[in-house]
Amino acid sequence: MIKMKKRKKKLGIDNRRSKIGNGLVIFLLLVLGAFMAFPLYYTLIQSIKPSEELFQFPPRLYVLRPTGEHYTELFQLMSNLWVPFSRYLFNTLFVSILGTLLHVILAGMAAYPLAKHNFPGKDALFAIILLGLMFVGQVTFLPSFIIISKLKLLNTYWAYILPNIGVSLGLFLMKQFIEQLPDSLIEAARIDGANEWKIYFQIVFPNVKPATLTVFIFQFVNIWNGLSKELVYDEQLKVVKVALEQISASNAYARMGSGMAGSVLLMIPPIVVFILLQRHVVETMTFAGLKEG
Amino acid sequence: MFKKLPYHTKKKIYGFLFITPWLVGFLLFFAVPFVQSCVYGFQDLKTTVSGMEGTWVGLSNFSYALFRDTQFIIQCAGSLRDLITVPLILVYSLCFALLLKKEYPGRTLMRAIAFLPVIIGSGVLMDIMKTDVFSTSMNSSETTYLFSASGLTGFFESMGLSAGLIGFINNVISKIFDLTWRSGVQILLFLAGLHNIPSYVYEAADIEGANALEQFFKITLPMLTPMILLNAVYSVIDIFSDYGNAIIQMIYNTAFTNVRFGYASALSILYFLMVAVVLVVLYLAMKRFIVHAED
Repeated sequence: MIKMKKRKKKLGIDNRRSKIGNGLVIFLLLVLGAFMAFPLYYTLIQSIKPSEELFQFPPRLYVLRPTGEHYTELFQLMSNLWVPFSRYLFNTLFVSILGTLLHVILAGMAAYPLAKHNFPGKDALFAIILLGLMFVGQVTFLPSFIIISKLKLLNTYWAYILPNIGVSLGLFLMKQFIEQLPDSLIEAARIDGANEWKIYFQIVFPNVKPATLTVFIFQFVNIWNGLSKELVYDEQLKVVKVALEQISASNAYARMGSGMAGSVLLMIPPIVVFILLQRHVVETMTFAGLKEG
Repeated sequence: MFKKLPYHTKKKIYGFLFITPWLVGFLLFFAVPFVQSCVYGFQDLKTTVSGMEGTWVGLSNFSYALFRDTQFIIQCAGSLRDLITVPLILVYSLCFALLLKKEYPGRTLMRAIAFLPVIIGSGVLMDIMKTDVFSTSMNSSETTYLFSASGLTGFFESMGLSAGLIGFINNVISKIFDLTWRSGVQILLFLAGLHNIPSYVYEAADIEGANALEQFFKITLPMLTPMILLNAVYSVIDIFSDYGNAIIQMIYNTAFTNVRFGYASALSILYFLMVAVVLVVLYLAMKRFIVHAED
C-alpha cells in the first residue's frame, strides 16, 4: 500500500517534469530543425525568386517578389524535349524501385546466413564484404565501367540496376539487425519443421521489417541521387536527374532558376518515400514476450 | 527439395543459396573492379587508341606517393584530424534520436526534416549549394560563406558585438550546421535501434522503480552499444569518403583530370589502407564495451 502511494507520487512528479521537458524538447527540435531544413528552404526560395533577385550577391534569405516563372519555364523546356518527360520519369522510377527492391531482398537473404549460420570462412567473407564499405567508389568506377560494357549492359536499364545490388551497406545493416533476433525464435520454427526458406521469409524477414525499410530508404535515396550519366547514352533510357542536368547545363546562367526548380522537384520522391516508410522503420519489434529460459 | 539430406547439409545448402545472388553482384561490381584497380596501382597506364595499356612499374607509384608527393601525406593527416567530429556526431545523433522517439504532434514532419540532409547531401542540389552558399567545402573546418561574410556577421556587427565574439558565434553555428549535415543516417539508425529495444525491459525497470536517468544509462545505452559501433564505423567511413574531402578530390583529379590512372589507384589503395587501420583501431577499442543482449 505504501509502495503504491510512493509510486503514484513519483508518477506525479514525472508528469510535471515532462511538461517542462516537452517544452524544452520542442524548442530544441525547432532550433536543430531550422538548421536541417535550411538548405531545402534556401533552394525553395531561390527557385521562386525572379531572375534579377536570383543573381544578387550575396544571396538574400528571403524573396521580395515570389514568382512561379522558373517552374513554368522548366515545364515548357520539358515538354519541348523530343523525349517526353514522362518517359524520363518512368525510367527513373523503374530503375530506382527495381534496384532498391532487388538490393533489399538479396542483401537481406545474404545477411541471414551470415548472422545466424555457422560455416567455414564466414568471418573472412564478412571481412571482405566490409572492404566494400570502406573503399572509395571513385576509383573502382573505371574498372566497373569496363565490366559493364564487357557484359554488354551499357545503355540498358541493367547498367543502372545491377551495380547497385551488391552494395555492402545494406547487407551490413541487415546482418546487424538479424543478429539481434533471439535464436530461440528461429529454433522454435526449426523444431516446428520449417525449412530455412520458410524461416527466413516468415520469421526473420517480418521481424526485421524496420531494418528492411531503413535499408530501403537509404538505397532508394542512393540510387535516385546517384544514377550516373556515363552508363546510358540513349535519350530514351535516361533518367530525370540526367535530363535536368542537361537542361540546366546547356545554359547554366539563364537557366539557373529552372535548375533550382528542378532540384526542388527532384527532392520530392525521396522525401515522400521517407514519410511513407518512416512509421514502419521505427515500429517496435514484436518478439517482446519471448524469453530464453 | 532436398528432403533426403541430413538437416545440417540442408542448412548449408540454403545458406549458400541465400548468399550467392548478392555475392555475384558484389564480386562483379565491387571485388573485380577493386582487384583491377589494385593491379593498376602497380602500373603506368596510358590510354591508346586500342584502349588502356599498362606497363609494369612495380612499387614506384607507392613510393612516389609516400616519399615524393608532398601533398598526399599532408592531406592524409588533414583527413585524420576530421575524425574529431565522430564522437560529436554520435552524441548529437543519439540525443536527436531520443528526442524523435517521444510522442508529440508533428513527429513525422520532424523526422522527415532530420532526414533531409541525407536526401540533399547526396544529390544534385549539393553541387549548387556548394558553389552558391558554401565558399568552402562542407568538410573543412572553416566557416561557411553564409555565416561568415555577409550573412550573420553584418547582423552581429550592427548589434555592436566585438569581432572575437562574432567569430566565436559564427564558428559555433557553422559547427552545428556541419554536425546536422553529417548526422542524418546516424539518427535514423539510432532511432531504429531504440525501437529495437523490447518495451518489456522498460516496463520491468519501471516496476522496479528505476528513474528515467537510470533507465537511460542501464538499459538504453548498453542495449544501443552495437548500434553505437555501427554508427561510429559509418561516421568514420562517411567522413573519409566525403566527396568534398581534399584527398578524394586529389584522387579524382589525378585519375580524371591528369589522367594518371595508375597513380590514382595507388593513392586510393594507400588511403584505403589508412582508413582500414583507423577502423580496426576503432573496432578493437569499442569491442569490449559492446553488450550483446541475452534474450
